[in-house]
Amino acid sequence: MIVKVKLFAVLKEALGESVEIDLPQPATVSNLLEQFAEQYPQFRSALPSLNVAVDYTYSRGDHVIDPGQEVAIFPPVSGG
Amino acid sequence: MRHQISVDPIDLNDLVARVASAKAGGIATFLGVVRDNSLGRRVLHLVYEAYPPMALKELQRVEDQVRRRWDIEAIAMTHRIGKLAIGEASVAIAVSSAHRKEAIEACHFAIDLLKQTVPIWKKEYWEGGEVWIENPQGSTISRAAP
Repeated sequence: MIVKVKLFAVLKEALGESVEIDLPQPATVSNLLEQFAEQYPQFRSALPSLNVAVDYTYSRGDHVIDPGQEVAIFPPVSGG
Repeated sequence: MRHQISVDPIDLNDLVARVASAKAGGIATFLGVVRDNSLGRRVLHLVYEAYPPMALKELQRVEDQVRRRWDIEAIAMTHRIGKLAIGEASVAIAVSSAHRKEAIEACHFAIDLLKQTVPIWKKEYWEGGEVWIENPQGSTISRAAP
């Protein structure tokens, strides 16, 4: 399945508002990050610090991404 | 709406009004403002960006966490986004409770948790450069709050 991934901060500045990542089904958050790093190797070293949100909720590891869910990848937050 | 992500300047009195309650004996507030220096650099201005629907959800989560710990009447949080000049307010929190201790402690806890979990990012513009900031305790996948 093609997952449209929203990006923010430094990722958005480098790659645009969103990117499309092709994932096997079922796909997990780990699969998403691995494929993201394959497609954009300049961010592989940042991988351990990146956040994934699925339907506006922090998600990680083996969490399964279902078709149609909103997916976002972003760096550590810096509000306040 | 008690919590907001807004491009408009923050009016602290508006937040105070949002938490007003006849049961409250105290209202504690926090106002975060843009400082003119960071890590030895002279900051010219900041730009804040948010993931608004998730930021609102996480602000509600901050309220839920506060209410699990303290008996408060109400809490209101607003974070501003867009370009901010030195001295302008970037974030404001107001908490009302029957007694001052709960309001002050809850306000302190809320700004700390907000800085860790709410998906908002700050870019600093200084003389000769610009950089995206990451909070030392900001969420990452391995450290995301449960």
